[in-house]
Amino acid sequence: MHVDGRLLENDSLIEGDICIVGAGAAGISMALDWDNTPYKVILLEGGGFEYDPKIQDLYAGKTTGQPYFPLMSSRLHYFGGTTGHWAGFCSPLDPIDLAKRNWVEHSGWPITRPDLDPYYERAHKKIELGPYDYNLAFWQKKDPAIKPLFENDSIVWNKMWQFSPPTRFGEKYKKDIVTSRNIHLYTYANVVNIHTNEGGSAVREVTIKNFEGKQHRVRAKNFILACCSIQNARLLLASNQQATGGLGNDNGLVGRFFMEHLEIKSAELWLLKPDPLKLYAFDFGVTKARAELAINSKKQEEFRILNGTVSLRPLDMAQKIKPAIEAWNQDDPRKSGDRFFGNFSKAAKESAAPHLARRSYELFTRIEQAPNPESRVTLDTEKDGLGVPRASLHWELTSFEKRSLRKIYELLGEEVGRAGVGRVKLMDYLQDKNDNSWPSFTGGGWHHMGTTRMSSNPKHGVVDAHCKVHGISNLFIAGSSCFTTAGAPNPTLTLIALTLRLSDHIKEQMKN
Amino acid sequence: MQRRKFIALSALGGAALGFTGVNCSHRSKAFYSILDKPQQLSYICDAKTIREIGMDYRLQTPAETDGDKLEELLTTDFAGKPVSSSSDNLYIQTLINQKIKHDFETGNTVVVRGWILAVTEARQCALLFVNSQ
Repeated sequence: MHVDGRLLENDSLIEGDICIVGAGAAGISMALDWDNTPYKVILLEGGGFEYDPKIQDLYAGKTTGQPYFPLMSSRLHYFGGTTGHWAGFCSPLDPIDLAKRNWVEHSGWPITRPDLDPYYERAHKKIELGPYDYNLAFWQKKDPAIKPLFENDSIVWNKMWQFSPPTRFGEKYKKDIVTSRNIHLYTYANVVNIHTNEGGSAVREVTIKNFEGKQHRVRAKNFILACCSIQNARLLLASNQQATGGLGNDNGLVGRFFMEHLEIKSAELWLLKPDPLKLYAFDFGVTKARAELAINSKKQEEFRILNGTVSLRPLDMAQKIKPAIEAWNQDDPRKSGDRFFGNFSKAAKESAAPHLARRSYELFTRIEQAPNPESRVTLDTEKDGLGVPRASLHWELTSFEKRSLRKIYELLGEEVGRAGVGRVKLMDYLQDKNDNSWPSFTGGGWHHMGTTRMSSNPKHGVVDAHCKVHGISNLFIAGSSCFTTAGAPNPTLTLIALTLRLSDHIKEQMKN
Repeated sequence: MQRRKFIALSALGGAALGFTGVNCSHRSKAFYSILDKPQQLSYICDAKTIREIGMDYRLQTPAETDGDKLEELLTTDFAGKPVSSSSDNLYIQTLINQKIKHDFETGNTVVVRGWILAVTEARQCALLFVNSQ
């Protein structure tokens, strides 16, 4: 069922078994997982079913450090959340992404890739992907025309990706949610405060507000924050009436370790003979799966580098595409989206068809950011329209990312040369080994991660292996804010898998 | 004087004086064109770019600015021995190709003007630059 929070009598008390804060990919995935159960699920969405500038403005905030997209347009604040404009790129984390790597400080999840596998499979269904199979051989059977650039994968391997249509959660799941017998969706229900019991060991209720001047309370046995990395941290930090530094922040970790994927053009691949490189080609809405080039985990260890993947775009088209950091520069996500996606469409129209054989390709990197406590979300002194301090993001990169990026291309360049298929040409900013600066076109993927990172040790993480906030028995976090490290893939698939795992855990806990 | 012309004259001079140089005397023009023509790179870059790569490689590698030195390095086999003067062109082309592949396999590479190159092919570029002076 659906209730518009603006129409409720002021100071209403809403009660349920579980309360999910946020109706984006994580929140909706979790709510649907509880459909047709004997439990009353409260799903709180700050916005409505459509874009509302006043609601979107609640996401505005400052940024410092490495230039970043406007915070206001980095996420969508209405039912369905940021799936309203995501591109649908999916691939699971590699086993090495979750492992403790002695060359990556603060790495090591308390769970492993096999722990996530069954949930990845379930997440696939939610976002309308193909079979949970990322082996190149599986996809080659479906299409023998896809051939790897080189057969030897001991240094560079082909990491497969799949593409969601992309599933717009707001459209796809609205009916399921509003017709559900036990899921109670409240729109225009912005959580502005979380209240705990006296000892701070459990959440008692949350306060919700809207611009109609109404305030309500929600009580539940368990609370799940699923508002995205920046807002999860902001809400915990702003709920500081009972704990000075905010909830779950006894060790000062909430908001720290903000991570993004660096997404940046890095080099050119020049082939000796024209080749369409179908395995690596991408045509939006058409391609079901493709590969990106990645460095084998043994070589990552040998060279002590971060994980990243390299995608290929026809150079003639890529040269017409404005860097995302330039195109996505408006506070209004609709305007930024139009500029960004319009830029792609225009470049595609003005270029030869993507499936044609070419000799030159742009090599574009998506690389994990090393966990860095100084890269963080804090509260600003300015408050939003509902009286909550705005988020302030300090995005900070280190020389580690730059060194890793350069090494990835050295290894790739050597592999391309060894295979005798062509040569790789680095962009200027990667040529000087002593230069740790970043060019103006350095961007991110709008992938916010790490601000409530996972660790078994409360001194090293905000949530435990089950995404429960350390020290608070009934407060859980769903989403990529729980990521300990970023890995190379876009986070949506993993954050849904992690959410479904959390869902199972809470169900099990409630049974007992 | 162009270096190629100089080599030819030197070889002639050597012959006139009654001796045969180990590296030069029996080698044809085609032999030298193998040395200063990076085969795979020439599918990608034009001659001007290859010369520019060669020019920059020499700046980056002061010990390898001299044409004779570059020839010596290029015509040394995997055992570290100079290629026999009776070697045919196919042999030298095969050796160069193998050296390039080996360079890539062993990380004996260099970045010149952004290009990730085998040291052997970078030397070929440098030799082309020298020969074009």
